[in-house]
Amino acid sequence: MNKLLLSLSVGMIVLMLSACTFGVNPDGESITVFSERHYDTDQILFDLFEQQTGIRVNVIDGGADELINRLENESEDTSADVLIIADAGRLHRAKTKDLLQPVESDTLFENIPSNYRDADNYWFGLTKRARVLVYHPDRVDPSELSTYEALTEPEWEGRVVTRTSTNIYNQSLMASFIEIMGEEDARAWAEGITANFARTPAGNDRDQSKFVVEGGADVAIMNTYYIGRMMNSSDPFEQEVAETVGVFFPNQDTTGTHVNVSAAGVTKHSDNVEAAVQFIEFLSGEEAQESFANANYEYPVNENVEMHDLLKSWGEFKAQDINLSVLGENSYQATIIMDEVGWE
Amino acid sequence: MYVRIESIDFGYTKKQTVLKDISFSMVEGEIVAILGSSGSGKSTLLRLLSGLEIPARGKIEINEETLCSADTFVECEKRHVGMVFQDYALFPHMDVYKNIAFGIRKYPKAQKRQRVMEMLDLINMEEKIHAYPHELSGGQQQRIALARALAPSPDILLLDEPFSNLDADLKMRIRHELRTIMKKSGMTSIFVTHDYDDAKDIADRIVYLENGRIAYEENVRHQ
Amino acid sequence: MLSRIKRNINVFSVISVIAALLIVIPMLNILLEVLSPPSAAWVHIRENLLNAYIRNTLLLIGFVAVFSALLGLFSAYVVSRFEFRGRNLLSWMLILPLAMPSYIAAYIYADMFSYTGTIARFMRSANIPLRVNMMNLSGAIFIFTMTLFPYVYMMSRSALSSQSASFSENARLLGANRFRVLSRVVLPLLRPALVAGTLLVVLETLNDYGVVAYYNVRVFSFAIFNAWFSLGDTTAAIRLSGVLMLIVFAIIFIERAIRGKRQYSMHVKGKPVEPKKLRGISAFIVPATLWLIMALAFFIPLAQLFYYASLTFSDVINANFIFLIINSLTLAITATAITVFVALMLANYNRGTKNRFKKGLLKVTNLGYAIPGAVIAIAVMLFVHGIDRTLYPVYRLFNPDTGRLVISSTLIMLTFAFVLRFMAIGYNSIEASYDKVGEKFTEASYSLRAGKLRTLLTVDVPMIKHGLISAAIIVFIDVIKELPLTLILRPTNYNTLASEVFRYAREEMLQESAVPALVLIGVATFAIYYLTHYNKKGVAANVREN
Repeated sequence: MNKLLLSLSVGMIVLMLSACTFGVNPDGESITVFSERHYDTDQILFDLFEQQTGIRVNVIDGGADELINRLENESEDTSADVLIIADAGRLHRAKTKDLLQPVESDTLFENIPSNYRDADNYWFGLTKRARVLVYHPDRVDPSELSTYEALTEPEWEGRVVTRTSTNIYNQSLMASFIEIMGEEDARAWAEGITANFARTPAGNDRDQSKFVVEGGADVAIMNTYYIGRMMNSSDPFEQEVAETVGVFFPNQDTTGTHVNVSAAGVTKHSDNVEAAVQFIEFLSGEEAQESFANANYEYPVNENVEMHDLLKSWGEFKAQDINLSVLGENSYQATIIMDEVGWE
Repeated sequence: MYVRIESIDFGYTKKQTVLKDISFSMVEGEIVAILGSSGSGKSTLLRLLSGLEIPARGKIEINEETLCSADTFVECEKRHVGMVFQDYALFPHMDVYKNIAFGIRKYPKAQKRQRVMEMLDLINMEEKIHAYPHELSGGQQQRIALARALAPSPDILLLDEPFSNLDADLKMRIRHELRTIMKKSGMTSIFVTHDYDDAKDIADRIVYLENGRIAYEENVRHQ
Repeated sequence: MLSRIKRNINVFSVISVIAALLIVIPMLNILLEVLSPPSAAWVHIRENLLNAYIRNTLLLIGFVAVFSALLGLFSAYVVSRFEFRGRNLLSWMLILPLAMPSYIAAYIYADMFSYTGTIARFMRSANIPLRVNMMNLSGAIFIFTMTLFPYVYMMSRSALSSQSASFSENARLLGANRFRVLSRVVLPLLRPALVAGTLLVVLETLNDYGVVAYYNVRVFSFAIFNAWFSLGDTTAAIRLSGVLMLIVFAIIFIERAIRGKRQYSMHVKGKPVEPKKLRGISAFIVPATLWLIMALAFFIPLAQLFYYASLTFSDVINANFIFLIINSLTLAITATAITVFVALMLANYNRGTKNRFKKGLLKVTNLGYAIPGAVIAIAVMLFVHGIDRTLYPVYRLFNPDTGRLVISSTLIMLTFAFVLRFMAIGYNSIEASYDKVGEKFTEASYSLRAGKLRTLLTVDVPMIKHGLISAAIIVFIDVIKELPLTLILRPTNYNTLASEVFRYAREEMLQESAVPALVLIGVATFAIYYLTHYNKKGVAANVREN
């Protein structure tokens, strides 16, 4: 009994103490960033930012959906000043939920090409990734590959693999097609690609490339940076997979390869808008961009900054010429269509 | 009168009647047996006296204190009532000493020990002071339960089927022993049984309970 | 009447009613939301997806229930009725798979069978042309069966060991052969334990999100998250959980209806069945089967984790890692202590009652376990934010610069959600112990003028100590593994072992997740070891007399 009482009271005390330690603000100016990113090199950047401006950066990390949800629930009481998450579709969601505010900044306008930021300036892309075709060189000659659309041809039946339709990357890909081809053709594409799947979609992007190497499929639709991350995986066998596969940028002669961003926005209820904008400007600047993009093998959004060697080795490519805001605008419709055509 | 019970009604639900219009009284030191078949409500009567159940109507008075009436109810733990349960309910995680001392924890230590020894002496089991209940025979357990109930010097002692768990042989012997102990302690007692021989051997008076009502009373011994 | 009311008001009733209200109010919020008009997303879900969700959910829980019941029952029967080498070891180790969170097992198994995985590589080098795809419904069934069957095992084993030999001996005297004894006497008597264990398995399966999301098995919890996040429609998510709750209640109701009036527990004194020594070939095959189950459910994924840990530990272990462990432990211990305490108060308040109001109150407080974590998370968040906004003027008195979300930014919110979710586990274990002990000891204590509190502390608690400890340990293991609530409700930057495992997995860095996963499994394993070995210290002997 005594033990029970003891553990009970210890528990209560610990709870109280931990309750007290939260919400204590350190002195000096600081901003709080809700971020999906979690890389050691980011901290070095944040320290640099503090050195230059005296503004401390507190990072709260979590999944993108989790963070949006949290912002929504905390509404005007939130501590967040900046939201950094991947995928324009998600940022658009944050925008429509009235969680962000528009920012007028010449620095940002200059550093970031207009199609990689929100049309109404609610969010700003920081790094780019392409959704490409990854193939097995033994079974596919790159000359057989051309466009996303070509993969719906009968010759690819049972040879294509990608993630589920609940995955935001695929939703955004679909959303871009709705914009470029119109809803009807986009639906036809979704139907055609679903018919050619080598398996019912499952797993994450790495799993798709492994499935290709394994021989389960010949082509995977996946994001570029996973190849980079697998090449540097702690598991030697994953490195082998990444080195085996070939990377193909589709639609080079037509509409361009699908590109998405991870982006930042100032929260609607930020109580330090100025510092928040300063922070995003810093991340879009030449000094920060290289490290920020390289941490995840992504393309820097600032065109004056050099990309990672791996990305260079794949060469320049033509990207879809659309403003990424439309990815968010079409994302709901994209999800519905994918559900309707039976893309699981 | 030392114990006065007036027009008690009781039912576990609103519609059901377990006891109906029960009234009787006792003088100090008297031993009364409540005799009835199973389901006659006799154990319920003890639970009412001890405060484990609340009567729907009626009045209970013991030693000039009203324990229960239309506007008062004294909780079980505040009544000076000792109870020996049907299967004794000795606390299995306490030894004999701790079991008996349980009801007199407010006594100073020395006095507590003295009282426990007195009780053990009364039931003749001094040597079992540190035994645990599961190490004792049924008869021994019963005596410990009796000692435990008597230790706080209750105003009244209630015994619920004190012999139901004993075999016939033992029962004969213990019956007389029990009466001796009870008389020696001078305790006003009520016990419940379904066996006429038990009632006749121990009680001064027998109250017959049938279908929740008192059928009649019989004096066995004259005080 | 007055006296009756007065008698009913005491410290237990006050704590119980407050606790019950705290648990019920957030749920009511959710129910009210269901009444709002259907959104466009809900119409879409109903037309295109709902049938598949229902079909997949029923298939998943159906197969998982059958397989885990068979596995649990088989292992429990073998361990309690036969004597063989390694029996003592297996008898507690068979609970160990509970220490392996389903989502970790799912990631590891999918990985082992993927191209780069250990098993797939072994198959290739041995020229076995067998390719196994884990990431589908069958894979999920396998994962849930393997990680959850110990619930059935635990319950069946304790029922088997307390089942008196006189039932089966009687049946044999009446001319029944061995098989008839098993099918007509032993198993039917086990039914409540079997049902309770299987129900736990089903509820845990329904609550999971990690496994089904990764394997893309479209069941309800997946749908709820998806409606919430992909379609951004909270109302649709809540409606889906409403449908899910209906399914759960239907299952419970059907079971009750089938059971009808039959009694399965009767206190019959008698010696337990003596285990028989296994001879011949079965002395080899039976233990080998059990070890195979253990290997699949625990040791194989564990070995894989150790391998990955050896690749990554130098990157993963840093100064912050110790905080992960401290955070996880603090959270689990606090949540467990409060859950068990409130459960004890509720059980005490409710003992032997025939009062309908009290019973109803309890049913509701136990609902938490049947409600998916995601829904509880929404409910608790709305509720606590509401409290914070109401109390804001009070906070201002203490600190004029305070933010509004005071409680919401502390562990209290998450702890509260855990209590709500796991109350049923704590309560049922305590209630079962109370049932076993009965009320006479408590009444004896009252008759000896011990008050309510003294009776609770010196009589009730020591007598149900075993039940309290098992309740505490099971809740502890559940909390430390828990994912959806932790992810959604934890205070900012409060990382636990579970949240860290999930973060790495989400970033497709499975190898890096191995170290926190191993520590988590280690802590849970220790708890299980304590649970199974505490037993033997003689508490059982003390209570045997009843």
